[in-house]
Amino acid sequence: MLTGPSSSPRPVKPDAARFALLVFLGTEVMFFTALLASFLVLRAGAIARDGIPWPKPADVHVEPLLGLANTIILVASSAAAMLACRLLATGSSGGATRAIAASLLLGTAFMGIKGYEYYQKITHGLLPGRIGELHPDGSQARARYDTAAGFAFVEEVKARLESDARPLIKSPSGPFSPPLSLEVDLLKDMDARRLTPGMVTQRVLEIQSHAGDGGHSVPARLPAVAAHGNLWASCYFLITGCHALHLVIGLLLLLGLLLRGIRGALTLEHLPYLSNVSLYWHFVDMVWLVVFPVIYLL
Amino acid sequence: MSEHPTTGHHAPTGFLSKYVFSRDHKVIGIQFMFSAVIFLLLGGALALAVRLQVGYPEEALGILTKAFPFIGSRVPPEWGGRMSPEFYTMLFTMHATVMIFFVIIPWLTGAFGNYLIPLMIGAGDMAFPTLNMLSYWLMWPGFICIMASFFVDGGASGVGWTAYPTISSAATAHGELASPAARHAGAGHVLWLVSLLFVGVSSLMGSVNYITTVTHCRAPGLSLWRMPLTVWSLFITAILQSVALPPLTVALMMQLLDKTAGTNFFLPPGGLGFGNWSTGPGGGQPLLWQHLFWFYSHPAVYIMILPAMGMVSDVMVAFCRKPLFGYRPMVFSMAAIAGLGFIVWGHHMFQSGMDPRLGTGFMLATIMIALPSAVKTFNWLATLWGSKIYFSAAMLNALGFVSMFVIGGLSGIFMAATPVDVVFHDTYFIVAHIHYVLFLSSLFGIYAATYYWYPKMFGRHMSEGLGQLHFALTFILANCTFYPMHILGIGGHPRRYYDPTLYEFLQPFQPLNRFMTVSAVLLGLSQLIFLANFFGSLVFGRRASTNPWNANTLEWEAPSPPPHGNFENAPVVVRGPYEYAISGSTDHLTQTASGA
Amino acid sequence: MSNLFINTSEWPFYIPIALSIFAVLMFALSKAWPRAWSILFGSTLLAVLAGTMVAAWAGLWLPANGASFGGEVDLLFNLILVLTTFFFILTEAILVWSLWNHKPPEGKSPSAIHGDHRLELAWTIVPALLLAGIAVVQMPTWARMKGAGNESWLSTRYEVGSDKADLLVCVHGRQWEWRVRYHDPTLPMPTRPLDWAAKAEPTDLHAVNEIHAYPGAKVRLLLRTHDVIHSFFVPQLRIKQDMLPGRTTPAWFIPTPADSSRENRWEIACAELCGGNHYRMRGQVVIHPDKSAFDAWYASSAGEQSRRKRSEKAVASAPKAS
Repeated sequence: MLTGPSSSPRPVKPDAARFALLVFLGTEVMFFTALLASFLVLRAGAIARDGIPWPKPADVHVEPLLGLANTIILVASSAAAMLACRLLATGSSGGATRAIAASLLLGTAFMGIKGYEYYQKITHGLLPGRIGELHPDGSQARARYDTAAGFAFVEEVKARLESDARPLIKSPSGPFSPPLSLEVDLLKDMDARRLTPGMVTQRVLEIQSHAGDGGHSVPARLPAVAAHGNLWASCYFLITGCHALHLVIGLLLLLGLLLRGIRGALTLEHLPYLSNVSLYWHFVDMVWLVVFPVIYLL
Repeated sequence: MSEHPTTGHHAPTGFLSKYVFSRDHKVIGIQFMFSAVIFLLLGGALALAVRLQVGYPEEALGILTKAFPFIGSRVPPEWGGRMSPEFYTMLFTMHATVMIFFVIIPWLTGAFGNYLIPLMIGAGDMAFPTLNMLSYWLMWPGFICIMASFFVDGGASGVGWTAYPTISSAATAHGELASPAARHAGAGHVLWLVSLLFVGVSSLMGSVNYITTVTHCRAPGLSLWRMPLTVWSLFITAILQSVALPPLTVALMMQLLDKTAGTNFFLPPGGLGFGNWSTGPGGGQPLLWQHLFWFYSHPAVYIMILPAMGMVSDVMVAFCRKPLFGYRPMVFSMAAIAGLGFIVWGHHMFQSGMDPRLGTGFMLATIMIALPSAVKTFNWLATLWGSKIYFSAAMLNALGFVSMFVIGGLSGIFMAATPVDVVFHDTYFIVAHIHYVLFLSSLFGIYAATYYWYPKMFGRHMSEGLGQLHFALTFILANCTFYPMHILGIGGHPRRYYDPTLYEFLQPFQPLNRFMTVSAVLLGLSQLIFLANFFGSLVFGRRASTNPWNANTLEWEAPSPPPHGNFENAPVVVRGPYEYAISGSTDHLTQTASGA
Repeated sequence: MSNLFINTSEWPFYIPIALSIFAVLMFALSKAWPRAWSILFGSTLLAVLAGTMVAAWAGLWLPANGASFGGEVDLLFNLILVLTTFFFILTEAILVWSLWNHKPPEGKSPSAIHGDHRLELAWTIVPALLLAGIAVVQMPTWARMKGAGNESWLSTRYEVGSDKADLLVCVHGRQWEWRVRYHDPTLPMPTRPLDWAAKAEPTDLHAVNEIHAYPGAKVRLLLRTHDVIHSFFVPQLRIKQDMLPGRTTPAWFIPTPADSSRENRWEIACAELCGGNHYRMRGQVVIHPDKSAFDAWYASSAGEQSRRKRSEKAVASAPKAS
């Protein structure tokens, strides 16, 4: 394996593990290239098809500042790993252990922020296949949206309104500005006549733009709406998820080294292994340096 | 027992660590080989069922139940005396999947790659024995998923081994596994995707290991330009695999998510309606799958032929007692095939709706990839010219490879020519081409290598007589089975048709279809000779000496079979692998022999 | 064997068996006479050549061409056939000859030759030139097939343009039939054909599994699919084009049947796996003898369609009135 130095004489040249890791990282480059290239192709194709722009960060609750914070954290974590190598090389096992701990902590902080971002997306209903897509009037876009999938969205809105707004119609809580008045209006309209998916989507978007206003401190849990939202969510979760998976593997490797350091068993002999883990960690960092601008800023 | 001097791990003593979870490259190679042989049986049986249906559309099920009465009670009554067309789609999908991912690739790269690389470079083992063991055992989740898929609701995948969206990827908006597009695109297809993911990771591990082993573990004196072509081919294949596999992994993940998690990578905007069923909202591009899939699967064709080319070269040289003609051009050709192999994937998509100008670019690259193949063929012929040929079973299969690869290569030029491809695309011409390359070339290469290295692997010879009989029958019957497919393709016979007799223009071709089916059944039966020979020789085979073929590469210096650690003394190499036709007491010089 | 439902007295059954016996004979012979292997290889390869010629002679060959660009395709096919046959015979002859002379003459041993630069150069450059030639000669044909005649190639993919087509036909593939929609040929062509393909107009004529045209008519096809990928394939028209979900793919043809005095009917087949009944997506291209016959067919079909519509409307509105 790529792990542990072997004490036995073997006709394997000593840098074999390093070389194998580099080959492996080469395959990883192909992996992330394919992921990001697919994303760019899908994105460009979606925009070219109907001229509707890709969702802006605010439309899909993406906060570039959180991404930036994560970038800084990950670079710092990478630097700490590098420091650990330097310290171990000079024989400072304790210093290396502390540096590994710092690297591990920063990596965990990254995962924490990432988790918070996922939580945000999930609470806003930004999940692939669940998002309503609004297309400004244009015969082709309209035609393609008024399909079975559009009606499924209408069903979903209706179901949510039935549970959140229907009770308010039955027992209005007050004469003025009842909570969820827009939702109640929408439900009444939907009762009265058949709204097209486009119209329902428009109304849902209006309601959500008023969320947080005086009368709307408790917005109904309506599904999210964003043009290209489903494709966006598919790509977002796939790419950041693959990166996070690589990060978790790196964290486990660092954890193993940390435990060894705490036991006081981290010696110069482990330097090649530590520097391989560190190389992997730099790679995960570099992937993020590409993912961040592509997902958060583009 | 002391630690072995050359491998760095102890010789295992327990049964489990010796034969099951072994880290010895030889045991792992043999494990890959046995799995492949068993899957060859399954893939062959599926192929025969496909052929029966096409040759005898009305009678196929009747024939099957007559021949195998135990099937009778399992036939669903709603089929009404005929195989269901959906079941037929499953048969050819699983035939291709099993043959490609569980027979040819594991046999070539898994079995021979593992067994031969360390021996032929004079190493005690792979660079990373544990990684090597993992790469075999990661095949097992793949085996289990693919076998389980036959038994789940809806049956195994039936959307073609290419699994084009949207028939493969369409899922309902509510996340059921059953597919609205096709009966055989449900749970079975999900298992198909998972299985291929495991197989891919396994291959990737193997490739990293092979590359490192070749670059880092060669015996002293064994420079790159002294490596036998077998090692070169496996090395280039490993590079090819490590570059091509990751995009397939991405594609498989995307389709898996499309099927199970409601994503929209391959679902067009607006989603799709299937009667009362409807998919999610969509937004992606079905064509993206084809690009990602063929970015892997076209190089995969070379992954399935390059090792065979390398091994056939070595087998041929040993049995014609003459140096290989044009060693370096042979290596350069393989490198060129591998390099060009990455920019030709679009020739599978000429009629897909891809931009026709892009098609022209892919056509140019595709036409040019015929060149290194031609160079290789000419070099093989020059090697044979004026040589002293021993017609052993291994040699006959190697000769079969060369003669049939010519047909497979030349038929490829028709499809590379874009206007002609309009007629031939997705017809039996393609089926003919792929079988000339994969059956009549790769499999002949595999047979040649098996007959050749079997004495080394098991310490016993396979029966020469049975081997030659097997070759004679296979050579004739495989041509009878696959050559007429060219004619069908020229006539416009689409592939994957359950019952071609529905079409007026195909009716004149039906006798040919029956001819191919009868040949295929006989072909299948004659493979039983090989299986009997393979398993029987394990017990009854003649004992093999260290170097039974008087070959001069390094593996023939280790005992047959080699012990743990392979070599008594680490070999020191002094020359290249093809020093034959030397005048002297023997006609060859081994790679380690001192002297002129 | 007859109880296996197989006709055992026809050539497709007994020839493979005879050939297997031949293989076994050659194997038996080879013990004493190794040149039997050369015979095995040589006869198989000759049989392959002869079989191809017999098939071509028996009419099991390219279907009779009926498209304006089909002649070029067939020419290209024949050109490649000649070249590949030449190289096939050359290489296999060398192989079989080497097997026949499997031993060097008495007292001689094989020469220890490792290669030859001039030979390598020759057999690299000659095929390279031939291949480059094949690559170049096919490009104009490909451009014509995928672009529409004199139209610029650039415009074929997303903008079909108001080209000078005589018939504009939208074909929708679905599991498992071809839905055909004609733009009324008496009206001017739509300025945005892709929009027309996406949305039907009341003047359109609808049909299932049949495409009608007449000799010399330039037919512009707009191919779409409702569900999965299908591929529109008419062998006689040398046309095959996948239908991609979410996209409109253009194609075109000008029927030029050899015998245009009668009605020609050519089968449409689906060439991309689209589910269990893939093999049943059988349609027909009907080439009327001339334009007037086509016009008559169109007028009667359109008339019938509007009559049917009126009566459906009447049925639909009847309960509302009461």
